[in-house]
Amino acid sequence: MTDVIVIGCGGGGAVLAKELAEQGLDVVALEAGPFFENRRGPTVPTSDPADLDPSTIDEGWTGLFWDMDSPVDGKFRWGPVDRTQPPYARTMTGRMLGVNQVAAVGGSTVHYDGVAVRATRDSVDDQWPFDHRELHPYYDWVESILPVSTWEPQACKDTLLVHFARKIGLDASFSPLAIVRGSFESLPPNPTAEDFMAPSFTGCVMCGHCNLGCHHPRGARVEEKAKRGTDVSYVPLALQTGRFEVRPGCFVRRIVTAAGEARAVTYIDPSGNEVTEDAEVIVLSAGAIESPRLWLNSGLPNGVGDGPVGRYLMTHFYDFAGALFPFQIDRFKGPVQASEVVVRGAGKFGAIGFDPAIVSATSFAVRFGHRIWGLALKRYMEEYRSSFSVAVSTADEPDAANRITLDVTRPPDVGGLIPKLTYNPTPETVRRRETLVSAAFDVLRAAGAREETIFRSDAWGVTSHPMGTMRMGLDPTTSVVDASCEAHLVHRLFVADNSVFVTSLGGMNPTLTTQALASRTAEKIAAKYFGIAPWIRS
Amino acid sequence: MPKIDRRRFLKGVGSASAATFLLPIDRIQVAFASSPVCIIAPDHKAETMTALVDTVIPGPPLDESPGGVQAGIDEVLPSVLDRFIPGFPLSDILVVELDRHAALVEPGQTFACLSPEGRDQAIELMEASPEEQERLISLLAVSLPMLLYYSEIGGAVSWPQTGFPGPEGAEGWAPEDFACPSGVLT
Repeated sequence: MTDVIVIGCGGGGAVLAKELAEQGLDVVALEAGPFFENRRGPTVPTSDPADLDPSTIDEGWTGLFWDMDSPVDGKFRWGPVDRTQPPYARTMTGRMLGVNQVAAVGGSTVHYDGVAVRATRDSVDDQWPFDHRELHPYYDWVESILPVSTWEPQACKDTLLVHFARKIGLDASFSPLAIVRGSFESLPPNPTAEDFMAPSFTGCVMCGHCNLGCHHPRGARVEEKAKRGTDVSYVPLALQTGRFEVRPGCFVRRIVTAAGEARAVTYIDPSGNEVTEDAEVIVLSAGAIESPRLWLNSGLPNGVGDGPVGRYLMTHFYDFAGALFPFQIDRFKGPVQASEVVVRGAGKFGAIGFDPAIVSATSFAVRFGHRIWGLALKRYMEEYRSSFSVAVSTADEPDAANRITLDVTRPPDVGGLIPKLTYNPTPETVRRRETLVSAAFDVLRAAGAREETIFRSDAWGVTSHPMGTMRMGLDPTTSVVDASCEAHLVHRLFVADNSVFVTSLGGMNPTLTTQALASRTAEKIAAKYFGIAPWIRS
Repeated sequence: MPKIDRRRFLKGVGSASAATFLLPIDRIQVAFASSPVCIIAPDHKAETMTALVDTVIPGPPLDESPGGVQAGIDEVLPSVLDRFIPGFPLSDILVVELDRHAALVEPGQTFACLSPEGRDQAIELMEASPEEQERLISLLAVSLPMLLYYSEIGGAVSWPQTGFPGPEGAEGWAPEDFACPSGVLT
């Protein structure tokens, strides 16, 4: 029997797997998506670090928007490994348009922007079952492993935001990044593409395509790629233990329980066979949509009546604000996000890169009633190099009515009944977003934006940060997992993804907190079920 | 005008039919699931797609620089739409909705027969509709041509217009390349 089965090898699952494997436990990670860096193939299981092959991403990750990030048939999507098959369906209701997620070893960290920021203190204290200080050693631990750092020089868009936001008294800084600083000092004058390759160059080449997959510097080993998605950081470390196996292309359909304990999982392997595997402990790390979906499709207990599973969905209720400037900013250079302005109690906004396709759509298509197209669009896009915008990430107020349920009206897929997302921002969330947009406008004006070009998207619900649907808490009637992230009603079943968040971290990007919590949960599992003393210290 | 390699362009689409999270395909499918399917004649669909693309990203004669039609976006738009969900005729639904709103602008007219100003009005009516599904279709009508034109699909035409070098032109930037112009951080 395997010691621990981890369902989902993404931002949280890979972290927990590495921690437990390093303690000598046998860990199997079941991942629905492909393992891009596996020289033996994207759906071949492996436990051998020698299978890591950087050429698969050096050659396969093109940096092209539709090829990489299309949620229909891009390499980074929530769908089957076979890109000729349609993506997995989801039903959206309320003010929700879509969720941007990836099925892959590494999960959505393969396309995240590498922003590795901690939760705000006031978003945790007195709201979570423990205070912010409890997380500090785990934050420190993850930050040292990835690693995370705040570095300069940063690109113009970020320098501009930090400079002018500070000038008008706002709390602005360069973001901590899980992206290694480039060795710019090693560059010769007028460098060529070859000068940005390993081994002479290390770290970030400032290409601006974090969201389309980071394979830089070219020629570097998988473990030395600049952006520290778990596919190039925690997964290689887990493989080095000799105790870890990852099985890509495996979709878990059911968690099997007996006598109130999790005992096994049933999954569909890449050949379409149904496999059942036992484990001492099972960990759900499938994300804030799939984790509650699997729980509900497994028929696990959900309190009395319509219980807490799936409730308190949070999204950061994004918006975009921007303008044209009288000088070139070249937003396509540098990490996609490397700066932020924090507005206490409301959330944050940060300068955002993006290629022309995403800029055009996020700026102008999503503005119901205020869209720009035609000649005005073309004239604006002709000044793309002078354009600037910020992504607004709202401290989304948790609301039990925002939730994941199962859609019984549509056909099931490989995972069973498909998930239905219901999301409407609360009046307080809307107010907070207005506060952030107003502050963003102040920065734009202070920085010299052309007044007639200032805009906001006033976007509907589009998110890359679904959170909060398997809430952590002390009361089993209002939460799913306890303070150790073990399910109240199913023992030996833990959750290690951002679904356990009680709040939306004050608008901060969720990955680092997910990873800190996953490290903490690994210690809880090891102590309670395997008698292993805690090992993580500041 | 930049030379357009149409064969290369269409080959690219064949391997990259796509959407983004900005395209509410799931919602549109549910909203129109019970609507009767009206099969649109190929010629009418083609002229409607051309009119839509020329409205969202105009080219000659309205604008002197090439636009979506010159980049071939109108040719690929129907196949991209209909590959979102196998068996779901999204392109036909879009044509029906564009024509329905065109008739509100000029009774008896189709979208393709409207003047450029009339087409703008038809899209504006869609996006102002009290019916959510019509607003979602209007989002698709506007955002998908943009996302195609300004991505690698239309990049041969659009990227020179924007100054975007594309990933092949961005293997790395040195500090002097990504710093702000001197004098702007005052």
